[in-house]
Amino acid sequence: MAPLRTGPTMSGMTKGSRFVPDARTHLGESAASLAAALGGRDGACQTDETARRLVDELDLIEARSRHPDVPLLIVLAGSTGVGTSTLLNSLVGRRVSPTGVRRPTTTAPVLVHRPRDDPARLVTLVGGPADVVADEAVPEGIAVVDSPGMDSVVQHPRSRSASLIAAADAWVAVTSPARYADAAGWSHLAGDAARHVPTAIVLNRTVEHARADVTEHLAALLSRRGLAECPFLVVDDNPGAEGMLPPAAVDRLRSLLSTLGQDPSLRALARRSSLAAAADAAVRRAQAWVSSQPEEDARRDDVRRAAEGLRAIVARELS
Amino acid sequence: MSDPALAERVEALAVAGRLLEPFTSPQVHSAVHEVGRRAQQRASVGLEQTVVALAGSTGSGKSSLFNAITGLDLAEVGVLRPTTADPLACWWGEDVPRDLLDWLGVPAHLRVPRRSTLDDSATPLDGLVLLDLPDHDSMVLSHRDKVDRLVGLVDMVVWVTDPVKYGDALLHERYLSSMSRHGGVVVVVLNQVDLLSPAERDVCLSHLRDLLAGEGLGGLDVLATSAADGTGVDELTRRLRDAVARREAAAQRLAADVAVLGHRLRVEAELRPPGQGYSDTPRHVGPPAVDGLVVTDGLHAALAAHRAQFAAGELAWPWRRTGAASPVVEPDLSSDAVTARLDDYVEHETDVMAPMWRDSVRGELSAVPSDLVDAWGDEVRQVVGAPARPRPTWTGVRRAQRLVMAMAATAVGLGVVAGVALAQDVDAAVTAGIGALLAAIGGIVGGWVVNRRRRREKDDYASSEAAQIVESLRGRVRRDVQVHLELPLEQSRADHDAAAAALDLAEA
Repeated sequence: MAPLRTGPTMSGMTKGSRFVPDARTHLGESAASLAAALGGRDGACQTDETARRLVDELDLIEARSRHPDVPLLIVLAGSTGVGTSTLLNSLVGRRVSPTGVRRPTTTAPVLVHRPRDDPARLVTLVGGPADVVADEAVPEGIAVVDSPGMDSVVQHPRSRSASLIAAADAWVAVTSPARYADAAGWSHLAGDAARHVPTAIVLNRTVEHARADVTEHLAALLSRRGLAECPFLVVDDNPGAEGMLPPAAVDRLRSLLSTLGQDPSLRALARRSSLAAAADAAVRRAQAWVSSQPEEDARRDDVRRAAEGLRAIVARELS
Repeated sequence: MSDPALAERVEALAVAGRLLEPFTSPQVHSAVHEVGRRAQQRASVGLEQTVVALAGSTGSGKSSLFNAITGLDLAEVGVLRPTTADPLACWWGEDVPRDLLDWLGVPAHLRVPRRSTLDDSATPLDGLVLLDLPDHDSMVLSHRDKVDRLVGLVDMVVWVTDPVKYGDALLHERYLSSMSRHGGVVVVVLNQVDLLSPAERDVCLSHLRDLLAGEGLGGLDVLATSAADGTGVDELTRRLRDAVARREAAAQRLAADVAVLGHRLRVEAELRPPGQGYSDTPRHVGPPAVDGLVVTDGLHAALAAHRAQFAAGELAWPWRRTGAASPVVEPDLSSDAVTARLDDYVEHETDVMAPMWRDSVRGELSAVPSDLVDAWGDEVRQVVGAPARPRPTWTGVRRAQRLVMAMAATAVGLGVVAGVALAQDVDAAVTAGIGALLAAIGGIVGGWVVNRRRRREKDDYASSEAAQIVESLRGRVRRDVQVHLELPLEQSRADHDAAAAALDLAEA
């Protein structure tokens, strides 16, 4: 597999973490213990909405840690209007996500997977209503989801995109010459959800006369924020066919995603980072759950202990 | 201030702010002071100008529009974002509006005059000061501070957005949503429509209008423009020309700000919406007449009886003197009933007020009824227990009594003498007898007169003492009710109604 022509290698995507083969299963087991402490699938937590959802997520973390063959979930997300739907359509080769001028365009996530892969787990990860499409054109080893635009005034799309990024194995952060200096976009890159998720940057809808200057400026901004190692791709604007770019325009993006999907060590790296991030979030919610329970609840001590154990593993992973 | 209505509104807002201070936040308070100061300052730097700002996101095309409207190529337009870092001002007219530009904080080197011999004579844009502002949404956060400041000062704001950013939360939530009353001085422009087909243009425009309507901004003007191909620029310039000609923008902007603050005060203090007023409420004819409940007729009668007994004792013939008068029997003061009457009065008078105000007044006055009743009870007891005092005229009565008794004694004496002298000196006896008879008659007549005087004194004393005490006590009760309840309540209601009326004026 040839490295990308310009820019850093794929490992930059996971921001320099080391590969430790056994940590994965330890994390999975620890997640399972926490789920059991909360009462497990059939336990008393059936009536407790928060606990039940937490158990579902922990089960998913455990499953993903045990099944490396579950496709990596790649999220295409950015501010409304940067062209994430167009990118998805172009990667797949047909219009699977609607495009248009009405903002925000994408209001429900569009998940595209290979027909051979079972979408059930992926849909659980996506966590809510989504359009699910199967297509052979999806690179092997991954599934791609087009997220609703961030920061638009219609509330629901905003929070979906944040939770999608948190659940993903990798985030392709899309921007454009119009949006690349917006404060909101940068605050998302720096946010909790995004910080541990492997990230690539795509400058989309790039017009010819702006290409050189904007690319240089954006690269400088990324470097200033410690994101110099992230893969940085530029996709040219094509005002012609609305909603679709010529295949050549997204070649590099497709090959980036293919590599990510097929190279075992890269897969492992990506999965490990995203599992750690998901487990980190789960630990925090478990701790919040503990403090909200009455003193007498027998599960409290068990949950606290299990959460502490998981937290220690996550801390090691993320360091 | 040249606009009397605006001056009244600002004053009304200040009055309302002062009256509602206990029930509203410090933030809205300083905002009320700020708008008053700003109105003064704006009037003092010259109302001949109309200040219009082009505001919006980075990349939406404010600077391009600025260049298109001014016909000059001054504002920097580029692909790197953000572009504009400082406000650029272009002014039309004869004399440079120095004070105004100073007040706005436009750097000296960024003030550009727009007059040349090639212009139309009497350019209709004379009086316009057009500002190109930095963006409000880029990562350079100092731009946002400059925008916040200037958007707060200018007379009219043209919000420039584009097909990519028109739905951004930041624009709507941080700026547009607080301009719901500013219809006459806010224009929303969808720029870069050259990038859209006519059908797409309609979609964006109608969606933008829907978004605005959904936020209560349905009255705002929305234009489609393209700085690149000139679409809509003439129309936008015409709007500016009209605003300048009307010379109302400054006053309109301030009036809208006052209205927005009036609304905030109203919401925070929980007053009724405008027009729903508080003057329709029935008022009590006056405070309840509790004086008769505190100082009862029974007490009056007991007092009279006591005083009568006292007088009878003081004025009795010596052989009829009994002991001291027994004390007044105090009828029970029905303090619960009185307190309840007063509580009801407070409740009724405050019933119609806004909740927080009402609760505050009721709280302040809550202890007053029972305190008053206690004080009255104490005073009644004290007064009732005070010893009765004889009248000075009674010494005269007693003297008369003594005189009568003396006459009776003389009559008896002379009678004895007459009897004794009868055996020896008939003449002397007769004289003594006549003397005795006269003295006896004098004594009887005198006694009868004195008795009558006694009775009258006794009755008069009893009734007038009792009446005087009762009237003085009742007077005290009435005064206390007036001073401690009626007047404070009246004042509160007056203030409350004044605040409501002031808000109505401010929001009109």
